[in-house]
Amino acid sequence: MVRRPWRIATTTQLERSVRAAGFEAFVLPASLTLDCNNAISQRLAEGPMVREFLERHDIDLLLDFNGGAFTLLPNPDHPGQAVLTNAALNIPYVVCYLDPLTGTMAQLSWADQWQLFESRDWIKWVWERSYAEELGRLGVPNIITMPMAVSDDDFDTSPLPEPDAGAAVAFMGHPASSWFRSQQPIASGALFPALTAAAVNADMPHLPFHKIYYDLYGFGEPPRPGDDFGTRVTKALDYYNHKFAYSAYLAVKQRDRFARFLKHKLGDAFELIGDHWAKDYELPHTPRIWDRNVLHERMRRVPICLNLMKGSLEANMNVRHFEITGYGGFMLTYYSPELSDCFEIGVECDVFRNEAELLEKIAFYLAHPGKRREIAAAGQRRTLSQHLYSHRLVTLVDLLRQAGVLPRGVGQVGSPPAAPTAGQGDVPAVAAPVGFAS
Amino acid sequence: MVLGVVGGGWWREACAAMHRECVDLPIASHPGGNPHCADVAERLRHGEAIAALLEERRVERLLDISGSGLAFRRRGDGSPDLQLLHESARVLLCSHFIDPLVTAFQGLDWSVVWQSLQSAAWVKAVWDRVHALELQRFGVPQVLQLRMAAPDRAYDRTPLDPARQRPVISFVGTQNSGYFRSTAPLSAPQLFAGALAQAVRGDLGDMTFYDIYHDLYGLGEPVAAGDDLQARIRKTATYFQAKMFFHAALCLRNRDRFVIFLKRHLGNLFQLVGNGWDAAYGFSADPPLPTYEAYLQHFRDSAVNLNLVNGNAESGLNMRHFEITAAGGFLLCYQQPEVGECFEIGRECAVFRDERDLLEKIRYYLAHGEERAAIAHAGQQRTLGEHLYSHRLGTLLGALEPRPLPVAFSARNWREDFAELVPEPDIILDCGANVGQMAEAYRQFYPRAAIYSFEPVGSAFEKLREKCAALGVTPVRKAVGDRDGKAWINLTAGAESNSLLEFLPGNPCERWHRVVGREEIEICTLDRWCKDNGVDPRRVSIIKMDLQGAELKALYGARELLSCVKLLLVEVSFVPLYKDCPLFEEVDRFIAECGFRRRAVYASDQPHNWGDALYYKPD
Repeated sequence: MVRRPWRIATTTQLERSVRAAGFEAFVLPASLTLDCNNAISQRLAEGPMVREFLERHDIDLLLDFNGGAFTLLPNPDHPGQAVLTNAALNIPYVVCYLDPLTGTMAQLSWADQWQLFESRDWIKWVWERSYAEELGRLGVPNIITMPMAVSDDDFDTSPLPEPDAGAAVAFMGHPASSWFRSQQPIASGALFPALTAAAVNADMPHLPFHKIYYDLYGFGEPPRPGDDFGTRVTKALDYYNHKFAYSAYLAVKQRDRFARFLKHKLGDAFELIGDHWAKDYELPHTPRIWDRNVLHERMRRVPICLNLMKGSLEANMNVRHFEITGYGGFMLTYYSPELSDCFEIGVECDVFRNEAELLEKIAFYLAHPGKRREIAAAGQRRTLSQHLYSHRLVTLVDLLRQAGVLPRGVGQVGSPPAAPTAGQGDVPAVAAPVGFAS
Repeated sequence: MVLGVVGGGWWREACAAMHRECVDLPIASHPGGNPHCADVAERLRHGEAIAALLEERRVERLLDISGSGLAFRRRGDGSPDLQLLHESARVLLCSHFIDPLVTAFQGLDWSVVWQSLQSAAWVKAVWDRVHALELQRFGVPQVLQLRMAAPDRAYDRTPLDPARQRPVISFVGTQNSGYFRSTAPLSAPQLFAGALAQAVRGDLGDMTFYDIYHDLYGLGEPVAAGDDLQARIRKTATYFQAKMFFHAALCLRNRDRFVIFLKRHLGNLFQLVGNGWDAAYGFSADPPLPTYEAYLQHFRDSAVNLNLVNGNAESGLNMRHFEITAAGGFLLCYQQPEVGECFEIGRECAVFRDERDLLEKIRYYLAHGEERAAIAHAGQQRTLGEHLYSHRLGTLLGALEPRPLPVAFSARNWREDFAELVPEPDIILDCGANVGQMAEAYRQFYPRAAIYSFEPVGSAFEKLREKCAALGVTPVRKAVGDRDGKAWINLTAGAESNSLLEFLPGNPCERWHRVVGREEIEICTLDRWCKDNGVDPRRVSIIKMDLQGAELKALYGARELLSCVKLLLVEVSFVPLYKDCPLFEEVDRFIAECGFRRRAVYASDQPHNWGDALYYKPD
């Protein structure tokens, strides 16, 4: 049997990585909005265009970031209901989440979102292991876990240029949370689980929120097999509402705090490149760099490129870990428990665990440019050999093959597979068709 | 000396144990019965009521708990202004704060509290070291740390019989933070400082709220020397308001969380005794024990006595630590920075660090009754030997006695002595030059001398280098010590306090000595440096050392040089300012052994803490 390469429909962001992984890439038409915040009506409007595209190119796999290509078709068998476009064609659809699931699809009601999450008709590629576990406990099926990566590109692997004359340390990103600046009144009781989790996190930093919430403290119960859909929706909503303040806390803990600290201590020697810092914290900053080439060159030219994670990260890594190292910058990042799974700390990047250590490491690396260059070069070698999206896609397709999915041209058609990893919940998934409240 | 004890309590028993005469004085009445809530009018009535008694009984020291002895009187001139009772009666008021100030004076407006705190005749003995430091940094006079203790009484000292104990984990205490049950809506910005501080404490467990608020993050302006009263009141009020949420979060972290956890995981094996738990969390709890004797017996009867401190403790121990051990009970407590300073952990009490560790320790100690009994016995001996209120009273009264300095300061200044002893120096070694302050003075005084200024820290050295270029002084980027190579220096909040020695919590210069970073620097001995740089030791006339506690080590590394040098000016400490910092007597002894004579000690701007000692080699 001759196997042809997988034909993958995707967005421009992933096109090059798909090809680099040895697959055929078909970029979804520019006429589609591909916006993860699209309302149901927009997703229904774009469904026929996606169907036509998938059929025309005989696609084996649909792949995107954050569910922008998540479109719907009217269900011919159940008027008033809809079916996922990929499911109607029996094509697997993998969504790589850069944000947590609950941070996307903001235009949908929670019940609609939850119904989609419970659907087996698509695969949720979640980068953070604790999120995958949490979704599994809440009954969301078809989850796979892989870290983020950097998109394949023409990486400059030449020795680092001389640093710019400007700041010695730079962070590129926006404030991670506006929660603490909201003028909305907050009921103090609503903070209780989050503050308890923050207290536990201080003593046991490896313990994810869902274990604190359910196992240690029993603040709520995960869905059970007999729960009806309404109960499941409510339980998930309560859980995420309680987690909201915890994520805000983590945002302060992992990002905003250090930006404020370094501005306070280093002044102009620390450059904040991003938006909203003046509005949110009255911190001077330079605007976001939109041109990716300029941004990546900046990563190479600042002596120390700081990485501070968002509150949406409990233990893993964000894109910036791979971006800074991939483009050859020297990365100094706040410690995260799973970082050593991807990088050798002190050899391929370095970490700090608190304010004192941050200042100490900055002073050390500014005084040791040779060491900085050595680490940056080793970090780049690691990322370019292991942490490109092309590497992840090879792993992804292997996982799909293990689950019995083959290219459409070779016998068995890829029906939506059961994902091979990450905890399946006890709750039976809702099979298509699905109905929507809106 | 007659002591007046306000409200009786353990101070009276401590006085009896120390055979000190004391006079019982009533406490200010408050309709709710809580002396913390007494307002100005009630404290004024109280002051007028006991003023005559103080005079009649010739009381010289007033002892109270949490400021219950703070009372007012009207001025005799008809002015509406009030005066402090203890000041008008010329009595020293000593308050032992077992609650933070902001809790202790709930009935008083903050401006009244703040103005009263300025009284130099009021000793504020604060149980939590961090709280004491906080007040000192705000400029409150007469603040010292005095830990809590167990009351003086006859305790049952018979060995525990583990077989007769109830196999329960007991916690005795009230649920007393209503913060998370308040129905008053909060605004999120109010929470920021507290949440930020909690985040920092997650990574830096010993970092204080004050450090986080002022030094790390600059969330508010610290009280400055030039601030007027209103500015001070405003700044401190803002600070303590911002700290409210941090306290609530600490209360959750240190206490309530573990009660919830054990209720869920141990069921009836966990015995909760105290009020407020039902209302807060719907937990059934046994009522408070009816008598103090029953309370102490409870600790002996329970296999494991848990102690969870309140949210208002940043580092200190509450009374329960001492009561459980004094009674002879086995204490298992949450880690707290000061536990190890009062008890030998694992031998006199046990600690846990998180939920997992708590369950493991409970399981272990339930299964090892004899070890439990041995720890309880050792803990009891420690507390009865060191942690009774009579011990604290001795410490307090001792601290109030004037402390003589080991030297008399010279009335002359260094220039006069230098001119007399070494009118024409050849080479001056200026060790610990910082940014060249003394190099400049030496150059003005000795235009022809060769001066070498040693400074290891990069930022200071850059400034020093610039200054040296103008002065014709040679800068050397090295620290001076007892070895050659690399070392780490602690960078401190006060740039002149960078030190090779470790930070000492609670030192009187802590404000400047707080470590804000570290830097790897080169270190050398003066003997080696002279050899490597062709400096003939016989030409060195003067060595000045200002090395923030590291002077003695630097002297060890300069033995050869010390046989030749004529004049030695060394900064000396009269109290410990850094960890393992040698004090004046030790440095003085070594220099004398090297054949020097002390000529003078010059006072610093903190004469009780440090000065500069001048030594010369007699001909």
